[in-house]
Amino acid sequence: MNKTSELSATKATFAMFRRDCLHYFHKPSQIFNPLLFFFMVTAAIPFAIDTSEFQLSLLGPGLIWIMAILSYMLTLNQLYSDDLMDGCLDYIVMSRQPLPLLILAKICAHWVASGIPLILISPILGMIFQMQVDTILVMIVTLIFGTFALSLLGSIGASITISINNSNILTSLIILPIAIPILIFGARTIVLYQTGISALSGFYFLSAYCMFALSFAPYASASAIKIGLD
Amino acid sequence: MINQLSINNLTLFREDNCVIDNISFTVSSGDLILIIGPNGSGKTTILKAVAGLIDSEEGEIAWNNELISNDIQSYYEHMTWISHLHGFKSNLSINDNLAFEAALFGYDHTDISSTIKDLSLIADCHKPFKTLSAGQKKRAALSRLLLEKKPLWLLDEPTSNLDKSAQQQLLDMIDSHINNNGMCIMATHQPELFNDISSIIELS
Repeated sequence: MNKTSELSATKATFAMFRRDCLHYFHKPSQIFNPLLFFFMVTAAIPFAIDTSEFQLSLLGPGLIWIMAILSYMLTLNQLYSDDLMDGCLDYIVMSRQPLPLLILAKICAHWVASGIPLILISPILGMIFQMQVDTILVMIVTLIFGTFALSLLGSIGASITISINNSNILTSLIILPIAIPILIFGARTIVLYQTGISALSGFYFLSAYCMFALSFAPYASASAIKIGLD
Repeated sequence: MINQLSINNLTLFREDNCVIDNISFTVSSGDLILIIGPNGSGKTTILKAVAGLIDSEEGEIAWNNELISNDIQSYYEHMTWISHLHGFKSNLSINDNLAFEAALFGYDHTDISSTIKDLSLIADCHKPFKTLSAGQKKRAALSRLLLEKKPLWLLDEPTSNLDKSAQQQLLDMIDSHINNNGMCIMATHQPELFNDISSIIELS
């Protein structure tokens, strides 16, 4: 790749990211519905179960993480279904830019639109579950890595099911098994921190898992999209 | 430069149904080919196959004697595809959509402004795409023909929803393209609109 094509690939990647961010911004229901589901269901749990403050803070990380993953699943199909329906995907595939880079830009925009609002709202839920401020900070770090990894893995599921109508459930079934390590390490890192053990090993695992997903998800998604368009 | 697109013994399926059975034709520079037939006869399917968006079960598509499947990206450098879907984000403006495509396809920004003006879309280029009329949406999609400047045009029902003046403008664009050694394959329900047709492929 020469310098000019590298520059145009970078420009195209940023253009893709900008366009998808604008698209999500102009269609707020796509962001707010899953977010509202995440917040309302998680916030309702402490009212439904009779627990002490200590038990609540121990249950909180697991419940918040489960609900975060489930609500995140609801957003995954937006990654490619809109572009397929309005014909934009044809032009993205036909462009002279590397498809995996454009896919990565789409994944980043999805994370900005779906992951960051979820992370921003999570401290309120942490407080509802009586978590300490430092524990909430640990939870935020796990959610940053975890949600980005979910966007990456979700991209694979969404691209595999691209040609199937109403494939949300199928996408979730494909993604859930490979999302389980994120759930385990996300929730357990917080609980272990609460019991006085360093959260670093959890951060290392989640960041490594994120990097692992980053290394193959754009390529796998690009191949699946090309097959799915067929 | 003289270009040639050869379609040999092409067979295409939609779901499990054979919609195109063993069709062959050749398109050379200066050719206008119309594909006609009732709804569901496979006009869009054949255009999508020629656009490289779907694989054929049997047969070959070659651009200048090179199979398009061997180097699809290089083939895309020579082809503009206008589908019946507009390929624009409905909640973004024409300007936003074309600015995005400029980064993807390398359009010149001054060309975008002049094309928007030529297609009488200047008053609507900042409005969300979904608020435009069907004809305006079609004209916006057709702007790619002027921006990409590629020899092969694949058009799926380009005249639908266009008023008389916009139809005439499109016919002029196609005439000029054909006269400049371009080539065009088009699916249409209005073959009577076109002059100097090289060949008509009728699907049943």
